[in-house]
Amino acid sequence: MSSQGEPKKRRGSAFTELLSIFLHLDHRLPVLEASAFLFFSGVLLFSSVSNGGASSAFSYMAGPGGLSLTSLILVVLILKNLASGWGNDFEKGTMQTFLTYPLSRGKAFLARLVSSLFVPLGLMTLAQFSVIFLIAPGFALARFGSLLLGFLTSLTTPLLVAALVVLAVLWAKSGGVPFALGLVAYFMMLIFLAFLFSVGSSGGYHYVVWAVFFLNPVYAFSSYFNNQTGMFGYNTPVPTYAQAVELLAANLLLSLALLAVGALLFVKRTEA
Amino acid sequence: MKVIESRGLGKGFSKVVALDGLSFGVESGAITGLIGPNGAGKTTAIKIMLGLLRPDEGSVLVFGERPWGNARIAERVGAVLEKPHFPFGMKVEDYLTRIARMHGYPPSKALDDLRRVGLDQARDRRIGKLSAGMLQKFALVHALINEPELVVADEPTSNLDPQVRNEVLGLIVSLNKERGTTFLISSHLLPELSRVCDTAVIISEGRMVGSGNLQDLYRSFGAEVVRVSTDSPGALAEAIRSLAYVVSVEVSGENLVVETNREAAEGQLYLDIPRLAAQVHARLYGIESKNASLEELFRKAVSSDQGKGGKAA
Repeated sequence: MSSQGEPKKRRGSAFTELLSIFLHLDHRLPVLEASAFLFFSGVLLFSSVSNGGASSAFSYMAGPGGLSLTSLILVVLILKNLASGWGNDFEKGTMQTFLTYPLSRGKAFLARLVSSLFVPLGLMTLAQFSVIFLIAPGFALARFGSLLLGFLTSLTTPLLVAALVVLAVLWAKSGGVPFALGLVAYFMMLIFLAFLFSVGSSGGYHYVVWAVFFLNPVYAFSSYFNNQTGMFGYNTPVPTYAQAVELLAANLLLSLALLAVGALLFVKRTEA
Repeated sequence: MKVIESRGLGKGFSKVVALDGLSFGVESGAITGLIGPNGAGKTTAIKIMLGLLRPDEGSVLVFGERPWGNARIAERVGAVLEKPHFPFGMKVEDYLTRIARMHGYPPSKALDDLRRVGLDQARDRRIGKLSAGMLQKFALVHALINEPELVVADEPTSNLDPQVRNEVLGLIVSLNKERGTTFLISSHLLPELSRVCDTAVIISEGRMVGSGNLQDLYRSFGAEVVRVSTDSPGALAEAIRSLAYVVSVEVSGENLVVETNREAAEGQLYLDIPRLAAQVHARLYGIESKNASLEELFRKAVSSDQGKGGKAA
């Protein structure tokens, strides 16, 4: 539209610019992210975890039954982004504006996903590990494998819930109800799996226990670290280390598969 | 050369048929009006052209390509959506800068373009804090930031006061003249479209009922309107209504507005009215041809379509 001094046009990246818009919208006030960093510092300073072994390193990261601080903050952060970001895009019609830009629907979906899901994951990783390396560098180096495993395991439930909420937001084309359902689903999943695990263990239903191991690999690693004697005194199956890692990978793959379904649903739901 | 070619476009939502075999073309360099009442299917047609909706039937080609999921088309087309929605929490210049960069332009272009429409004063304002008029101008600048060859605008002047409406229309005309940008503008505000459009596509109930150059449309739909001044309007109106080619006669004080159908020979009316006036002893003060408004044209086009068995009620 410039009438004088035509600006020189170069090749632009619609994906990068759209991502920068989403990042601006989702992370303009990084209160939760900053709080997470402070929380992690406090927890580590006032705990004796840095004197423990591999099991305590894992437990510190993964939390009891998967209810860790990382997991909780992530769920709130991701659900907030999904509800106020994606939900608003659909409810207020901004999504239509974004879809007039020169990029495919798949890339638009990916830009949204990176901003609302993968950036919080990255920020949590940064906060969690930078705190450990700053406060207890010796422990962090010695137990890095267990810490990483614990951290990845702590992501499983938030990721699964997030993937389900992505599907719900796309299906409903709104954010409010999926946000509430996501929070309820998160806590219900933790409670329900704990219940299922105790029923499976006490009743000798090994397939139920394995299902719980798959849906929340914290149980698989806890069984492994609790020295193969079975939890709660029951004769529960105990996975090997390799099996626990496989269960963790399978769980993460399930979330990724659900997100891939989300990409297809996104295309479908933006057709009409 | 046609930049848009729509053939037998059909689209339905649940039980509502929004488009029912819509076919039309838009010539390069023209300002084309997409005319139709609310619910005619204008917005649906525009969304299909912008690649926002996928047609159920038929096809539409924009620059020879299908627009659905086609990022190349978006590089060449600017879109003004019916209700402009942007991330309202972002600042005007900040957002536009990112869109300029998205299309490969330097950030300074955003401010240059804002300046052109007088929005540079609002550059630091959040988009959500813009007035309706400013937001509409912003929507237009946003659509034009990539210097598109074609701009598709859905009701770009609705809800605007007359002054801003004039500014927006003026901007459209000047861009069309300066850069040869093709515009397809949908509106139900016909008087304003008739001021800027070279051609029009008239749609009703999802189908095209007329299209072409405005003058040709006036001619083809025979919207010949004549204003007659007389001292006996009632009696003369009654007599004129008896003419087979007269569609309607409206009485307004001493004036009659006579509308004829397309079969009417233009000169015939000027012969018949004095003859009828003499028969009913009415004194004629004057007969003048009145160009039909776009609104009258639209009405005629739709009624003609119904006469051909169109499904409009």
